[in-house]
Amino acid sequence: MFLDILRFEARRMSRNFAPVFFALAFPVMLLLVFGGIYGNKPSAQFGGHGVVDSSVPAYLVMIVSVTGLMSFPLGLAEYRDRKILKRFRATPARPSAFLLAQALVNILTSLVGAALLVVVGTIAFGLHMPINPIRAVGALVLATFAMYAVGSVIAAVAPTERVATVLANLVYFPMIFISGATIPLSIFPATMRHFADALPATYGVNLLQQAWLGTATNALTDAAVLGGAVVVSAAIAVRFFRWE
Amino acid sequence: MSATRGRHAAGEEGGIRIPAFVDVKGLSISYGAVSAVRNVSFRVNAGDVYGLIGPNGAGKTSIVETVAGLRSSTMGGSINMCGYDPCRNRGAVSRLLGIQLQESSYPSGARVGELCALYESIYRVPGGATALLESFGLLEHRKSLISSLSGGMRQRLALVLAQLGDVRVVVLDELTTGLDPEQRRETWESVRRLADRGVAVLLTSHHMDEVEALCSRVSVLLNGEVVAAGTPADLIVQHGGSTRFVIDTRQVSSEDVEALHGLGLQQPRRPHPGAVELAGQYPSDYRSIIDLLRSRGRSETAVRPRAATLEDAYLELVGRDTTVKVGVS
Repeated sequence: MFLDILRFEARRMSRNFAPVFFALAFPVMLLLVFGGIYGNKPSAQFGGHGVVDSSVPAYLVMIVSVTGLMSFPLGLAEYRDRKILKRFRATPARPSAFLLAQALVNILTSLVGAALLVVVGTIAFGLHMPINPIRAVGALVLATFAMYAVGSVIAAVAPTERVATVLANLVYFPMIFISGATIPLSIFPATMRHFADALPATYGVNLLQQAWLGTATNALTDAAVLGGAVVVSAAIAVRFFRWE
Repeated sequence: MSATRGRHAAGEEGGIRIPAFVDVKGLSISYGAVSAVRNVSFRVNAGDVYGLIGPNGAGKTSIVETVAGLRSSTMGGSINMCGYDPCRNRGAVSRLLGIQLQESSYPSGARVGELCALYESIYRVPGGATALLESFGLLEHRKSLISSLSGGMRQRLALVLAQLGDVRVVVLDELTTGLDPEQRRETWESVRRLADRGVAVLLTSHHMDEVEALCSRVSVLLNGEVVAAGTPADLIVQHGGSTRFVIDTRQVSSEDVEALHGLGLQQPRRPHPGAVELAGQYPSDYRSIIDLLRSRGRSETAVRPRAATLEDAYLELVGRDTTVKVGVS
């Protein structure tokens, strides 16, 4: 039964323009634009790395932020606000199966977006692979958990679908624009970097860039912040989540 | 809530068909300090369509959702559905129960066939939706997005989903709200077909013509209590009053109306806007009204007799200041 629920949610996701565009097409478009302008030659402006090599790990955090902070919580809010979860509760299916299926479909969409980004980066600009692939995968997994945990808080505390949309936008845009996921932190003034320090995505970008490029960061602190975000957000989400 | 046995004596496991019924006894529901439903009892047998009617906030949705095992509010009394207590045996009840929830929507971006396939999987009835979709005129829309369906089609889809699997009881909460008259009548036919198959149907509605057309028995709820129960015909006889005489106020003056009131006929609690209604015996009181209107130079077309309806009975019951318990089943 769960596979059928997963298939159902995957088909719905394939018709949901916003997450499909922003997780699959948008990062590739950004990469093509900036890669087209700067190429991938090492540059002092990007810490001695190519723009593409530097951007891909950051864009990976943007991809998991799109699905984790927008698509996932808005999907849950829709199901709860429109009483769809309640309807499923009246069937022999467990409503939690629908939440799990939505999370898995969103994560799968992120994986496809990540693969697409890496493939396009490699073919078009000669993207270099991570210097430590295992740490890169670990960093991406941790960043994904962190974004989905924060997204769960949005779904849990928002009383309606409309409020969830507002909250998701309030969290999502700072998370991708001030964390270095879209715009390199190296061009930020010091004040803005203080704001960046308050965002979990910043630590995800740091961790991924370190695993990919070997850039300097305190990996332990980055991992601890992301892990803390997962634990605290999950606890809040569990405390406040309502089925209806 | 008193414990209902895990399995009712009438129902047996091992492939023997479980008789459809819902037996609610002394049900009370409260939300915190607020008492929403008090001491409600009714029984729905196989093939019956039972109606719960009452104003908004009367407790209808609380009752049907509790019967469906969807609410766990503080309760008193007992619910027996096909031998199960919905609060204790939700898993078993969910296989025997189909439901259409008030204001419930469909998942966005889903096609009719996809949702049906999902429900087929949930209820383990592969291909079970095909015949139902065909009988409800939805088979050709199988590949349509649900969002593109008309209101009537969506309600018919709700009925298809509500009876997938081996359901014995179907709960319909304001099924026809928002539908046009033709769509409502199509939906009524679907409900009748359900009952003809032996399914016990429990419905709530604000449309008295619908309740009169579909329900074999009805409970009228007011402030969480049953104020009357019986067949629609019984309720009309007991509470609808006698024949209504509708006076068209465009054809008579206020002095004429005053003179008509002088006949001493009963005035229903909620007259139609733009008209004056009097209740009395046909044909004797009708003849008195005609004679009076003629004597005042008015046409007899200014008055029209009509039989009392369930709506008259309902308005009389819910318009009362004090609740009167009559024939609670």
